[in-house]
Amino acid sequence: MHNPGTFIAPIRIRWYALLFVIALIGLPWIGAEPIPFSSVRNYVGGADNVQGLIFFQQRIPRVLLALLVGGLLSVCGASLQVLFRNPLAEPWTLGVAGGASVGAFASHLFPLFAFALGPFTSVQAFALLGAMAALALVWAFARRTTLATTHTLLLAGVTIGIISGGIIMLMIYFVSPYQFVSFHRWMMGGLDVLGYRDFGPILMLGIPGLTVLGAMAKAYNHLALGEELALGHGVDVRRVQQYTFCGAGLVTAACVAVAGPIAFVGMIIPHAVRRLSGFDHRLVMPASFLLGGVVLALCDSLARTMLAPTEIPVGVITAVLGGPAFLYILTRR
Amino acid sequence: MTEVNLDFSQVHFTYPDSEWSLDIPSLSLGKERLTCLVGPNGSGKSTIIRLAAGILSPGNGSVQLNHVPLAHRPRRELAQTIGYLPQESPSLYDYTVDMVARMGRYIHTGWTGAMTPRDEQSVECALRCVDLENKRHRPLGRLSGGERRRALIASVLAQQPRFLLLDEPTASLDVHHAASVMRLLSNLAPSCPQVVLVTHDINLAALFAQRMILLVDGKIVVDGTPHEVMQPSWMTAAYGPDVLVRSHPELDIPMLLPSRVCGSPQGESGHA
Repeated sequence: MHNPGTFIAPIRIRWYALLFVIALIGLPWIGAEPIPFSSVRNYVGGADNVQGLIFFQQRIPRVLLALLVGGLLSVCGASLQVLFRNPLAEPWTLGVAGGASVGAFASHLFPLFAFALGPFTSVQAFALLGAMAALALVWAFARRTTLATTHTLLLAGVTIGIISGGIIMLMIYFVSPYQFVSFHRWMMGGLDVLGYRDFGPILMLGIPGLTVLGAMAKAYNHLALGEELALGHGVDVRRVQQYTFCGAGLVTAACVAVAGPIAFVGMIIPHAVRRLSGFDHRLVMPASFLLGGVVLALCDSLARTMLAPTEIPVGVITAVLGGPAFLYILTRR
Repeated sequence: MTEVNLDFSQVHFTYPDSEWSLDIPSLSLGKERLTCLVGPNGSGKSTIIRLAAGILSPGNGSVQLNHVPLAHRPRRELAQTIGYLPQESPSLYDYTVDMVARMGRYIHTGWTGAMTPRDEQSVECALRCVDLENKRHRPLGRLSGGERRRALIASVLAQQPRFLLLDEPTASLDVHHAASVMRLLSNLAPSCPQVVLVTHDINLAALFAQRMILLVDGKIVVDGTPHEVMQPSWMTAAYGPDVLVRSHPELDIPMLLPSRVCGSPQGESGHA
């Protein structure tokens, strides 16, 4: 497909995939502790050593999680931008991540409701509940067409985010100082995992969500072209909207429950992809997943090494780097 | 080829928070090749076409496609028969003409949208029809208003519906382009034999339509051939006293002209 506005050929999916593979192979070697290749080889050979342990139990899971979370958030952002017809939409700006945070937080606060069905725990359940509630709220606002211009919708989303923050601050009053530190860290968005135990929960919600959103890719082109025209073409617009809703809720809850709210990745990546590869969502969606993963993994590598041996939460990096990009897109319109 | 009939019966429609209402006791669309809905602003032309396309659903009464209410048919099935072009379609992204035309194949392709030779052929045909073959790689944003309109028409044509509903396809087009779009739409048979469209341009409608339906304030005033509808009495009823009806200089078709002074005597305007 010809890409307007640029004179270079649109970038094909295989280049995104290549980048993804390079990130997956290369980034685990980066970090505060240098890892020699020989110790990894020895570790695989059965000789226990600290570097090998760090590599397999800390670096690789962390890079994998970053690739996954970045990808999921970007796909979610790409869908929400079409659904709301708003270039600034993403789980974070719409307050959906905030809603999910409140849910995840509340599940820790009320051990009474705690349960676990395999990888599906009360944290995931409450995060999903919170995400869907926030989505419903902002959608109800957006449907009142007289009110919802690009910026008022954004204000509504940010307001939901602020309310969520307020509720969380209230809840913080009831937790012990020890919990406070870990919650506070989680609220900044971090990917510091140990081992692979967090992958069950995130895949549990993430895969169904991703499947639903991915299956809508063709319909998103029609939705973007205009709702009534899409109806005329035979697109069941209502169902696409409902599925997008559920998919976005699942994906956001999956990410937030594990990694906390991470800002701006979901908004900027789809824009970059549309710039580079055109507006066909059958390409935009998978490419967003791949590029989003790579970018978040890069940000996380930066977070690991910038102030080594101290690690910064990756959410801080994305906020600092993503904020200006957000302002740029906001003013360009 | 089966004939497609679109029937309104006892339709009463109102928009929320509005006094205005549309009442259509009975209306059958689809016998003629080109039917034009005309009338002054706010007369309900667009509402009728949106009801017919199943975009809106009537509060009372029903709109039926071959005796089955539209509401009972899934969107996908409806699109097999009915094509619909809305009045405005603000695109979020700058798709190319080619992409827009291809989107018309939504119901004919799988979830990946992969095109068979037959799909390609109908896209080609649609682009040729609207004369945009040479601009197929242009994005919508770099087309003129008329070309953009034609690109969207191409997407509806590529869909290959049997029945085409268009809301103001000639809006904001100059005389030449408006006429060429009307010519195009009146020559779609046999691939798409039935066209119903809304237009502000009553003269263009009179030139091309086999049937005209004049609406005033949510009611059908007169329904018939251009000669039957373009009577001075109907025209003054719809557009006020300051209009004249005169015959087209080359064709025996009545035309509506604005008069320069207020309250010009309509009596002297007898046409052939």
